Amino acid sequence: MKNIKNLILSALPLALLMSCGGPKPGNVAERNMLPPVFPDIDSITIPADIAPINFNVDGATYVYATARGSVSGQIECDGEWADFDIDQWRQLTRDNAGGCISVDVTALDSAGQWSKYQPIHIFVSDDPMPEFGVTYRRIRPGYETFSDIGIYQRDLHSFEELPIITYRSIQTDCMNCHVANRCDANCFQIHVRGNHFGTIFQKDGRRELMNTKHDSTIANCMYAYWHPTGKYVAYSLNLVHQSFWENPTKNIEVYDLASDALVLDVENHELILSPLLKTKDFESYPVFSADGNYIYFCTSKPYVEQNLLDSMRYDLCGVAFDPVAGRIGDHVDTIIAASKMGKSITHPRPSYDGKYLLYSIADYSVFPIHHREAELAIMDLQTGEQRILDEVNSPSAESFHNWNTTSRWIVFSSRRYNNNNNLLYFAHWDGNGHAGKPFMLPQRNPRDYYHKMMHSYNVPDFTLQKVDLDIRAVASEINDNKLIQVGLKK
Amino acid sequence: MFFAVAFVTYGLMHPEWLNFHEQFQLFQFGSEYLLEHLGYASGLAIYIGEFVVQFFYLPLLGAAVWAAVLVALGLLIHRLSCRISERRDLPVLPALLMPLLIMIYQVDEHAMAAYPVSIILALLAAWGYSSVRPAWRVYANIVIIPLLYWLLGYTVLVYIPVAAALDHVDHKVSIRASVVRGVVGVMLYVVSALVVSRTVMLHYIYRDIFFGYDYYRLRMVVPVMQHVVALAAVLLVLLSGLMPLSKKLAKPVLAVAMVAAWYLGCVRAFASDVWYATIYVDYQVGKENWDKVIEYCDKNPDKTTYYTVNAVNLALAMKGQLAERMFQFPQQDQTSLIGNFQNEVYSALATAEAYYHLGLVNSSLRLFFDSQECVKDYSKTARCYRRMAELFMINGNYEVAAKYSDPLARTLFYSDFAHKLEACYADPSKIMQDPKWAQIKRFRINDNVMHNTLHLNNLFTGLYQMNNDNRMALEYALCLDLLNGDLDHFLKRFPLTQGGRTTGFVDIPRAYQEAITYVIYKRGGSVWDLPPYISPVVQQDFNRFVTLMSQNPNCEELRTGYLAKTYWRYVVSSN
Repeated sequence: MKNIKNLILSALPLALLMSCGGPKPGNVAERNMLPPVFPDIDSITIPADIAPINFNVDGATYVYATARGSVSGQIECDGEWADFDIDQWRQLTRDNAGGCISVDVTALDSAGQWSKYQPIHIFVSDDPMPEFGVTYRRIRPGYETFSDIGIYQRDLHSFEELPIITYRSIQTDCMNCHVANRCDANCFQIHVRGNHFGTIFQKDGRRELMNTKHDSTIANCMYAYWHPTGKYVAYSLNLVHQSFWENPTKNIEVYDLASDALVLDVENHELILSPLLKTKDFESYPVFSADGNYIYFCTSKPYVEQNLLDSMRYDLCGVAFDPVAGRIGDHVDTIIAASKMGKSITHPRPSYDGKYLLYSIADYSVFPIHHREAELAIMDLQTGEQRILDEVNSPSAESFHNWNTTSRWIVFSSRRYNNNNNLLYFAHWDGNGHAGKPFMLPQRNPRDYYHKMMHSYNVPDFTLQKVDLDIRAVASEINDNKLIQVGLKK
Repeated sequence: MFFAVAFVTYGLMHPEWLNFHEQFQLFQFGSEYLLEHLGYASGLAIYIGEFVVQFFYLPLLGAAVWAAVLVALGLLIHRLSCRISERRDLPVLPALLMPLLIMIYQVDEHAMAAYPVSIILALLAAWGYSSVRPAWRVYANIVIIPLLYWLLGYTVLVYIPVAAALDHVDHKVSIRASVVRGVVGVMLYVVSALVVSRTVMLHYIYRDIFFGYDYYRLRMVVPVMQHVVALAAVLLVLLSGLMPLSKKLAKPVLAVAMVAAWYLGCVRAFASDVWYATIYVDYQVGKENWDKVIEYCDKNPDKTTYYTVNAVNLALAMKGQLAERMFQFPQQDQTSLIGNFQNEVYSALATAEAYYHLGLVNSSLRLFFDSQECVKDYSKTARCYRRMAELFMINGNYEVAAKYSDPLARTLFYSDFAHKLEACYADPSKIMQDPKWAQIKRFRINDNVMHNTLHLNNLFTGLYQMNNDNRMALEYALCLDLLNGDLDHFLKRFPLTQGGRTTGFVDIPRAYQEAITYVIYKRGGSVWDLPPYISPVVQQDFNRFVTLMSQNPNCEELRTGYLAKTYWRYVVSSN
């Protein structure tokens, strides 16, 4: 009986192939190799219910693909590239959570030769990814000026991308840093820069526009991170400067001329300063710990014009925070003295379960996006053990990253595709110190999409729900310059 | 006749106008680009406008195409006005006021070509509407007006009154009923726009929704002339029949008035707008017509702009005349040679070109990118895409180069160039078969060198020392010293020229001779201390300069005469 079932199952794809409208495989050569596909999807780990992991086969003019679940289910597609039906794919992943999907690929090359390859294996984690999608800024990887920028959200269960705020909707020079509180689309902030500027805070449908520059601070609030209670946001204030390299493999060096850190009491519109975060040294990228009682931040010796930029190395430090009193602690802990190792740590991101801290590490610099050697690394907050995340890194720059709400998935940006455009990748975190092989943000036709895409993805983060922002109201408020001026907490 | 006037105006007198419009767009064939445009209100008109503008790449062809568009507009106005006035004998002349008005409006370089195209489409729709059966017309408009709004945007407002007038003429609908139909049509337009603003164009500003996404290049601006042009189209169609043109002198008077309007509104307006000096010079820079750049700047010192100064210095350098002639042209400071990028498309475009020829690949790439991002309507430009594709390719990043060359491959006039690049991606050895690319590859920097605008002369010197064939780099270094008045560094660098030979001169270039003469004089030397390579003419001129400076530094000869065009005058004025 089992043999008959196997026979039927194995004959089914062939029967389906024969019933398709495209060219029919004939004289198929068996290749003892994986198919040359884009993106690299063999052995990746994906969550159930995610959009189809479509792929292109290099040099193929026609492709037949059969995805078969280790537990149950099988779906097929054929065409110029492997383009699975969204609903069928999602069902297949749900049915095989905790198992594996094997993808058989038969492809026709331009010489008319059919090839059947070794199956691709895609692991489906039983750790769910409950988020609606991701948010990010799209921007051309450029220099000083940007035109068609915008903050977008992408449904991870389909291929739909929706704008949150874009250059078409608002008259401004720049927008960035859509930062939500633990992926909650009901609590977020966005900076808008230019002639009309401000920081938009939206919490449970109520919106405020603030001017976060105060006479006693060096700049507007910049890199943001919410306190778990939603009452505070930790910021660094950065006087950012750019220099430009002339050699082919380096391009831009972004660095600070000064930087401090502080906490904003969002409800009372007050800045909470501390001399420990406002020193001659540079403080940047402050983030709250998962319990909200601690602030991690990066610090470096100040930039001196005579010094070379590669002397700018950031250590990972921390300071206590009392959320009840709204007070920053009285001493700074050095957690990783990266500068002593000839390295620079940036973008610390504690997992929401409080167990790990993910960060970027590069040879120097506060802005690793332009550093090919930049990598992701992780620290176990219970043991203090640190390591480079080799399983997700590449020879190109890995930079900004975030955790999902279950702390089992990370999203990060990487330039591995072409050393120019920052694209999004996702990796599974098993909760025991290991990450799965990352996968690229799925697209319906990945090769075509990423080849034609001129933008980079910046500041990616998960979002539990679709972000809802009344953009016309925001544009009107910004144009009216009706800003709430922040004060200082006594 | 009108065709000839328009053709001459654009094709022969102002090809730079054509070039300006053509180079700040990137029309691509293929369904993807069309569908992209059909995804927003007014998209079809924009698409067809861009389609037309692509022919501006070839000035004579572009002028012919554009003249034909203008004439078509005039003829369409004429035909419709004949219909509405129910007279077949109406002269064409009044209808030509419309394309004339367009020509005058479009002296404003931000007035996009899509707008007149859109008016033509709106009038064509009205022409087609006249064949709709009377009983269906009211219902037809319920479909036509929202549809036209989606395809053309704002210019549906030209269609509505003309259609209402046709109802009155063709089917004897009363004037009052026609007016009501017109008002309802306008309301339908407003409702369509509001619906669109709340649905598919949620993220567009109201200007784009109500007045057309790309009828005027500057965001947030709807010029009064845009409304005037639309109103004129309607009035000419509706009221041409009422013009008293049967009187004996009426037509000649109108003709003379139109010629005068053309002269004053077009010819004079083009000539008096100093901005067109920039556009013209940039047109020649884009074509690498260096002699024409020099000639224009030489003949038009009153039209000097930030860009023309940059451009003429580049042109002189490309012709090997920079050190010989640069002070014959107005110079400001270091930025005359290397422009500072100032968030404006022309602020550093000539410098981007200069960096390209100097072999500063990354800096050239940066300035082409930033210049393009300053195009006010966010269009991408074929010119910048072309350069960026080349530069990414020279840097060895073929994947990114292909991102820029693929859109070019879908154009009419840049596809050959794109295919040439594609061949190089497949076989990089072919890069060296192109003399310019090979030269840039030889000149480019491969070490960790930071671009420091405060020490550009050191960067240029380094380029020359890395490759002695890069004589332009040495000229730029020395001329920057001169512009900065940094004569100590100039004298240290000067031996690298080996008496001018390394920069291709037989004699020491004039600017260098003047600088050396000046230094010796400043250090208390006399004519006897001058080195032998200082020519007698320079010595003589310098004596005259010193004499005049001691007598009357503000004399005419120093301000406007030949001595005003010397390094001495520049450096003394700078101090």
